[in-house]
Amino acid sequence: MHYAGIDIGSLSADTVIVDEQGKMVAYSILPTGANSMVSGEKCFNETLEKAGLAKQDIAYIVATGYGRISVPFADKAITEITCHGRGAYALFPNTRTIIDIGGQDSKVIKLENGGKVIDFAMNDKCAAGTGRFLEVMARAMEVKLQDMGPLSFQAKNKIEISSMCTVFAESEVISLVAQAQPKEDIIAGIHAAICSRVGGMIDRVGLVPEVTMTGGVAKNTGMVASLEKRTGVKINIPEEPQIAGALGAALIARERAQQEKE
Amino acid sequence: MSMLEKYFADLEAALKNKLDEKTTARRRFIYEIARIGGRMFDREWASAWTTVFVPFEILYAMGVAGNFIEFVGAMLAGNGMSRPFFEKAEAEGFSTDSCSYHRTIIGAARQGMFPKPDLLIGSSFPCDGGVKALLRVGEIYDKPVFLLHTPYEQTPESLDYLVKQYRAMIAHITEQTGRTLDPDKLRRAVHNNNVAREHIVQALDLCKNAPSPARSDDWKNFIIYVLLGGDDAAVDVARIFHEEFRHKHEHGIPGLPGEKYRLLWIQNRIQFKNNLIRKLEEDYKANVVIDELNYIFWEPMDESADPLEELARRQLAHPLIGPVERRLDLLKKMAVEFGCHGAVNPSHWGCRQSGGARNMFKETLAQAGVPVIHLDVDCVDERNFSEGQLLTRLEAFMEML
Repeated sequence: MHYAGIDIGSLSADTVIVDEQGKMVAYSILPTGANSMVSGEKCFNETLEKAGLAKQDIAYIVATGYGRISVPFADKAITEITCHGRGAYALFPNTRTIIDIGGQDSKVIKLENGGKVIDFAMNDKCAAGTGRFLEVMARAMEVKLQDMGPLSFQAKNKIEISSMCTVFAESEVISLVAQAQPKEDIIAGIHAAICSRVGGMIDRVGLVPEVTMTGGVAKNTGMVASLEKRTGVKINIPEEPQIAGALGAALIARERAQQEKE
Repeated sequence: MSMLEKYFADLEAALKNKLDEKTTARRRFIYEIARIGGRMFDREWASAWTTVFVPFEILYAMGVAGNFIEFVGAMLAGNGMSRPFFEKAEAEGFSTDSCSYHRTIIGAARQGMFPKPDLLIGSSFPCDGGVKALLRVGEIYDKPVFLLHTPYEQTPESLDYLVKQYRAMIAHITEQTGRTLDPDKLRRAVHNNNVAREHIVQALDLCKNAPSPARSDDWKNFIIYVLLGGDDAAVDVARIFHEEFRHKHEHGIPGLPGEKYRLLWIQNRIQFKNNLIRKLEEDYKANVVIDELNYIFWEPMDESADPLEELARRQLAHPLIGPVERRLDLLKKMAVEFGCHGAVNPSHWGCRQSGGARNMFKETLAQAGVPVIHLDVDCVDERNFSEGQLLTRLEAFMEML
């Protein structure tokens, strides 16, 4: 039998299918769009197809992410904190601290030996320090999201972004662009602003190496470098950081199914 | 009849009908509170608006019905009535970052929702926001505010100082209303407080058993019990709580069937309607077994001594005054005594004292092996509430436990 984890985030719906041994056999990432229920099902079906499996081959499904309640065919809904913890631990078994920056929230999760979550902190109720913040700033500068990392390495004089509110920061960035400030310097400042926000959460939870970063923002090399400078430790980055939550959910699905069998 | 007077009258009548059907401790408690709330419209009583920690026994013994503004703010929120009052207060320039318990009252007073109070009496603790709100209410109604300054230290000098202030407060009430203190009524209030205290201590002791005979909302907002101020009804309410939980305990009836996790709730509950408690109970079998503000922190009062001195001694022992260690020690004691697996701190927006101490809550309770979740929520203004976001934090916390 196989097991599936479906992570419905604000920006992407991710599905991972693992086999009886917990080995990943397929994954998919799709934009969440306006209807998380539809995108969740679509993503699940696409992953089944990639794995060459049918729905009846999946013994247990765990849904996670903010849209976890929008997956009516899931056996269980579990929060993304627990699932990212499980996923990151599976990818890097020495992980003790996870930095997850997703579309609408950022979190720092602390694990004990064995991968159990022992503490966590999440951003307040706004987009500051999240993937959405980066996305809005990229749009304001007319820069592709994936180019932000490489561009930030070309910065000569990092510009400080004083506003943390996404709306005010967007205006600030537009003003800086209008003043013909180099985009690389602005991007470095944006990374530093997010780093400062996430750094506060890291301090609150207490950093213990190894550190693993998950979520879409981990693909931004500039952001990772900024966090490595802030923490003073090398950060593990999964090959596909966006699916860590879905992987964790699939592994929990496997464990739950085995527990129920016993 | 004003909208609010009608509300209290209807509430009292509806609760009376429910009580006639079946008496439960919770129903009787809410009924008595509604009855006290309705006294603000009863001319047999002088009415006082206060902050939360004033000696209601003294007011009661002078024929003054006290209502503390945080209670009224919570009540308006619980009934979904707050929004226009927030908007009114904000239109006057009050910041949305200020405490919503107080903001809603300022708006409601400006909208003419309440009869003009005879008295305004504030206490310097637990927060100065409440005092400032009361001062603004005083401006609206053109009434002076009498302020009780409670010293930080538990010393003989502090006791003398507070007793002198109580005497000044009594003189102020007499000057404003013509009412005098009935010493026999005050002695009876102190006696009633002692009897009720013993019942509540024993009822809470029963809740230390696992499973607790109470469920999360049985003790919700029990802090407003102070409004009963030593009235005979205060003893009845406490006795019924004690008897109900003793009966349940002796007959093996749990408050929450299948109770698995036991939680300590720090400071305020969330006052407007929401699903957090239901979710905790149904999905995780998690029961709030003790609320910080419900704990009996004071010793029985000496009924042969000066009642003012005894009331002042109780006031000085309050864990929300003085060094924060006093509060931290008590939180740890509660968590241990009640066998709590975790603690929930809603960390009410605008409540600077709780916000400032929250990391200390976490560190202190960690020493007892009890993790804490901070929710960052406005307990009164539901416009700031995002249930999904809070549920994610709370559910992750429960998964962690």
